[in-house]
Amino acid sequence: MNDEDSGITGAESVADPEEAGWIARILEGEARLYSRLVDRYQRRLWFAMTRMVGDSDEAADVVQEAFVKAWEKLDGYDPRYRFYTWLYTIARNRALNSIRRRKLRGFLSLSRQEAGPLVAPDDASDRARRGEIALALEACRATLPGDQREVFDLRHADGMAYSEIAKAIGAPEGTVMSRLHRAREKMRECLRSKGVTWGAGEGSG
Amino acid sequence: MIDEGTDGGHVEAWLDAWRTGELEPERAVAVERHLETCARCRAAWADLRAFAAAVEAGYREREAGLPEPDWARRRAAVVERTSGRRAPRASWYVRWAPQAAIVVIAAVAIGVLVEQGVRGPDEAGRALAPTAERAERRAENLVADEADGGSPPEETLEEESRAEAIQDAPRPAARDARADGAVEAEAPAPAAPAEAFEKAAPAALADRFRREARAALAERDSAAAREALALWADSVDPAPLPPAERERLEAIADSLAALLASLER
Repeated sequence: MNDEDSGITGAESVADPEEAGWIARILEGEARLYSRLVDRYQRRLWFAMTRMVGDSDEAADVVQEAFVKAWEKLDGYDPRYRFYTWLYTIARNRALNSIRRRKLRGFLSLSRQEAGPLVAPDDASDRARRGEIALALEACRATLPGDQREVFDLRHADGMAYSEIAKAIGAPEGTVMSRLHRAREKMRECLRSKGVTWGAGEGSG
Repeated sequence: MIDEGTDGGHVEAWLDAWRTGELEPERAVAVERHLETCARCRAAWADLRAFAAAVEAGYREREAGLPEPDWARRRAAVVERTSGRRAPRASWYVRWAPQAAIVVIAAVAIGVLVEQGVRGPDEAGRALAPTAERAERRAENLVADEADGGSPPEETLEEESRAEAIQDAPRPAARDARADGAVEAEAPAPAAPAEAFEKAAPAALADRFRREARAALAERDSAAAREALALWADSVDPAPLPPAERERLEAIADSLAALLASLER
């Protein structure tokens, strides 16, 4: 399934002209401009990586390394896409490696890795501070297969466009759509089973 | 798959992309027209919108409590490692330096053999040993780097064992570029058996090409050796290297290329 078949416009993934200009100048030697890209994206990428690796400190390291790595291969950046999308693919590889290494070392149980919790389990006061939806959301995310959880996170938390998600995970848009569809169905069912409702209540199944 | 939910003209499958204005104009118009007349899809739309809002609120709430890193410090760490240097410019030579180095080393080894008039596989093996070992070590490191820091296919999240069995096929175009620039290989090598190896594990693939390269070197079949070494290099993804390592490899490649040129003269 290619982009033409998906019926989705790729316009959302087109690079920001301002950003493209910065990158062109960076490649011409204006290294200091790179910090603008860091400022613009480090926080957003950190949230995405925290969802992925389940540990906010580790995610911060992944983000920092991803920016350095992106710098090193900046000549390979395709200006037709957003810098963030490309940066994400770099960070994602590092996050996956980090998860794999952790698994190999057996530092954490497999279930915890699979769950990719947003933060480590914490105390009751913290739990009280958080809302019911947040807790249910986290529990339900943990039930999704990793590939579905990733597209669900990218779509509903990171706010990526379909075409960007496709680029970011290296899958056709049709795959993204079906994966997301399945993830949403599971999340609907799971959240409902935990008593979470959302306005329109009845749902479409 | 994406036609799910569009049976009988229903548009549920398109609603999420429509929600964020990502549908092609004709499709968007079709969705809007359909919603005017279809209660089921209108209900689905209301549900999706509410679901997305609830989920987004859930994420916000959950993540609001995360202890954020010291962003200024993180930014400074990146800037420290990227400022005062030029970003790399597009250049096949720099990008392919690791593989180029391997191929150049092999070519030099072949040149040495020819120069010394080495006879017989045993003698060839002895003469080549140090160079071949070095090239092998480098390739092994690349394989290890790949296993550790490469680009896993997207399936990795779901099923790692499957991911391990899938690897990009060798890249004939890239090999050609390298051969032209780095060793000026004579005749074009036979087409890479890419399809046949698509499913092989990268380590096994690299190992196979390495054995082939060794055998070809032992038989002083330089064309076959170059081909096998190029395939060997190609079976390893060009993992980007730290700048210092890249510079070192570039220097090695430079001196070896010069040596090769003098040998061939």
